[in-house]
Amino acid sequence: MRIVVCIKQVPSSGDVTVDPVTHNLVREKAGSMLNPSDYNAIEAALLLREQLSESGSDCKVAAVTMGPPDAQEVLRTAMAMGADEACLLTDRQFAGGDTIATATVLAAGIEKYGAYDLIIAGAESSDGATGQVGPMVAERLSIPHIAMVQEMEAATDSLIAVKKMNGTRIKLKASMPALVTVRYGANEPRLATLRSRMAAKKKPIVTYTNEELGLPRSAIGAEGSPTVVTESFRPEIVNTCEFMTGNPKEIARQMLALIEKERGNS
Amino acid sequence: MEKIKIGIIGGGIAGTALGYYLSLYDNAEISIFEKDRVGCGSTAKSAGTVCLFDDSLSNRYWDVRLYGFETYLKMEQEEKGSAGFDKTGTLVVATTPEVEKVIKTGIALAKAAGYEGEYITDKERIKQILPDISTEHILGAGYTKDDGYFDGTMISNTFAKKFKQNGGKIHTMTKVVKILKEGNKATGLETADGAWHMFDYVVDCTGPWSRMTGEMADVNEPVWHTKAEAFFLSPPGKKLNYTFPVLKYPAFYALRAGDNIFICKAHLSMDLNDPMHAGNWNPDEIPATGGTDDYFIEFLYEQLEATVPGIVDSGLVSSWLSYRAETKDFLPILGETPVEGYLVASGYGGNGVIEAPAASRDLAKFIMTGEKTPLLEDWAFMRLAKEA
Amino acid sequence: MARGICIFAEHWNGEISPAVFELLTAAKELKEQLGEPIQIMLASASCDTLIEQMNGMPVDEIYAVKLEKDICFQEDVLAKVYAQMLEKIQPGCVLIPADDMGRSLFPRVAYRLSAGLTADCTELKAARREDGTFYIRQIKPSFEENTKVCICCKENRYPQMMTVREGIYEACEASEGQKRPEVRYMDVEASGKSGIELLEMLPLDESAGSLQSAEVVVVGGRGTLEKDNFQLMEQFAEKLGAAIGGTRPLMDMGKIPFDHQIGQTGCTIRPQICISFGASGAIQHTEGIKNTRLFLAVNKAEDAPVFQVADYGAVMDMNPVLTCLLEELNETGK
Repeated sequence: MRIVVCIKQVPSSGDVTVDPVTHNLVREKAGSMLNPSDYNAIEAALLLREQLSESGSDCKVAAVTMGPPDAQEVLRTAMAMGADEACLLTDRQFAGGDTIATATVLAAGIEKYGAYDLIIAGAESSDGATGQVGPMVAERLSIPHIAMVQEMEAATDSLIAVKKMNGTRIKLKASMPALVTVRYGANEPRLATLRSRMAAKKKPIVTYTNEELGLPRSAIGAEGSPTVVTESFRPEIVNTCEFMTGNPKEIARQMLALIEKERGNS
Repeated sequence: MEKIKIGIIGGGIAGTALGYYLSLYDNAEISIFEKDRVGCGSTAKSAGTVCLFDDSLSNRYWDVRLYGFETYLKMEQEEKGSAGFDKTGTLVVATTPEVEKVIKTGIALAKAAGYEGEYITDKERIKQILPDISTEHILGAGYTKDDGYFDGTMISNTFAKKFKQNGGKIHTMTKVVKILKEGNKATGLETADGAWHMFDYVVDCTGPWSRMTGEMADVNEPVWHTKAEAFFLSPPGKKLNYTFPVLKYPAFYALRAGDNIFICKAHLSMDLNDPMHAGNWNPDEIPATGGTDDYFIEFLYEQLEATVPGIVDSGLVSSWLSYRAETKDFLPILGETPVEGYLVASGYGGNGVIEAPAASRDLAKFIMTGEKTPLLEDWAFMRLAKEA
Repeated sequence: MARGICIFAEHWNGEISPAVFELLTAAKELKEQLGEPIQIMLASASCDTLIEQMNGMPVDEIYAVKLEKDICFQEDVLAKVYAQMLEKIQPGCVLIPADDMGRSLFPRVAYRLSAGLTADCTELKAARREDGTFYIRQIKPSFEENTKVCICCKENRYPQMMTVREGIYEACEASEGQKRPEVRYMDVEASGKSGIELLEMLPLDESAGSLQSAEVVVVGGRGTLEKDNFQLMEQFAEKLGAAIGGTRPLMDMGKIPFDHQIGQTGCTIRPQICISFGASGAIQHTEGIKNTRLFLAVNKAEDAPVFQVADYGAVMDMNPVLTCLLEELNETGK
């Protein structure tokens, strides 16, 4: 089985600076990290690989990311955890793309990289938090998808996945090739070690620019995006805390009302 | 009695300790200005080791070390947990005869102060204390079970609490943007909201930010902000079945952090001429986590393979860059500067938790009475004024 | 020409999702500014029952597709249905609940239509261009809830699609005498076989699961070591179905295992809701709490730094607060 894991490099600090003109992240000031739910996605892929190897089947896990050249860091992280291969999609032309443009590039990159049975992505990124790119890639590749998966196992020619929604535990079967997105906290991601990090550093990374993908300018980057960020603003950071007043019973009621409102349908 | 007004910039271990010792004088009126939360900058990333004998501070300053250690023990006695003490004991490894000599001297001093300490050459015993260690290529190790590590942020908060109880004022989330002067005398400071605060003395306790603070007073402060990498490791099996002592080697040190191990590059091995280590790193640009260069992974691997091979296959949980304000001779800068009324208590270089109590006690006395001490003379800012 | 504020009538188990009624309130506000009709878009095996549930709502037009059976998990096929509906309806904008269903299905629809889709909006504002056409300014949180951005669709890119966060708008109330809207049934082309098969659906027990996956986490600081605070906090967490985390003092005292210690030395959590009791809020601890939408803090000290990071705070002894919280929860029988 060939599994492709789509991952993303995101800013690590919550204290980000946004360019007032482009409204994009000022990258030099923010440290970066692998998107949190992508750790769970990589772990899910590695668990499947283990499950398959126990039953004597071969499985390779390839990590793919679209980003600036230093996004190879997250590919190294994936390989340090145990991914077998990595592919970087990088080109200035890809920059500034929204979820539609990003999905177009990722789908093209995955197709170019080779045959695949399963694509796994994190449920959402910590910066944009749209959760859209996974399903969009599935649409672009005309394959079925299941979002927000908790656990999964491989069956012959299909994948069994469990998710929860509206207080219900739902078990679904997807025919392959398929795409799943993995919920944050769905599993306990294994840790890289010093050895595996050093080994990952030496592994080759396949790099594709738009020369290899051949996508029209109108479909990628800012040009290929139907949406634009027009404004960015920080909510007031200093003294954002609203203090509740009253006796303990009144405070308790206010707290429960706030929790109830936020919880909605979980 | 007329009050002496002091404005302290920086609410980490340096600022809160100084504030506390000043607040013991009833004619001191003190305000601390901290741009974020108390003890949440450099202090928050400190390892907090306060060991009876190791190479963090030369034996010449044994009394400083002892005073710091006992100050925190007393804090813990007053209120358990207020200094965050984890009494793991310490194992200091001797890799050369020079290191061995320093350790043995340290043990003698510790014993003189009533604490346990022994220099062990029996390699089996060393392995009993730390099963994952490799005893090849080592001469021996000093060991005590009486010390361990503390929590710099908790200590800062405890100093701050006592400071406030004694009438001191702390302004958090308050950035100082200007130091007010009349000619060559500092007269106060201006905060970001435009307010002016007038003082007889302004003291810079901003650690890695000291160069920038000094600029506001036109003082060239010879402090380099160095990058100090640290990792959290999850040992094989996720949990050790023995108490991991503070472990000291010349190049690095390690201590436990819950079930994990915190491992950090030793500051004395830093070369301030190497831009990889030192230079003009802007402390405001240090990310909260991550940021360690690849070379540190290889460094750590080589070190652990050779010294503590049992944990070389630990999981890498997280990493960060610590802040250290170093001077060229690795000793702090205290006291008077070329600008009247503008004092400094900075450059603690990774030893803030150990050194702040004694340094602050002496500096407070100087501010309030004009009396100097041998420590203040040794660590005088003016000794390095030419270096800046 | 693109016209209409179209709402995705999400439904589950024979009921219109409550979030849809919130979208109606949002749509009403937009209608006041845009003057465009409010439309409902619905594909189901039981359209009639669902449409009944919309009685009294300020809906102008209903577009419905009769399906052989409800296929809410077969998003590969369902997306084609809704995409075709939107191509025929041609609304100006589409409002979708930002819940699991909406966020999973509509990216496929948007990609098919090459339409802009903004996720998780917390505010929608209509704005007019110089040529008189309207567009919607879609405001949403970004970068782990630390900033907000405003997103717009480019000119002539219709429909403008957006998922809207729940709890932002009040549910629209039914009003008497509301004119019943015309229901237009649509034919869509057969969409082929789905690659998804539903195997089983079982009720989920409400236990929190792992600390990492918990949506609600109750965090205890040093203050919980006093009196019976920790027990009360545990009971509160249990009633809420929340996971429990804590600071180092709790770990040192054996109240929580190390893997529930939250902070730089321990673990990082990303819950939707964090309720903190008696934690001062030192950075080593708060660095471990990210991306919360709601952070409540209770602490005796009014200058506790935890109030710098909390959204709502109570300067109070936690003991009576926890007691009252438990009383309230017991009363309402949750």
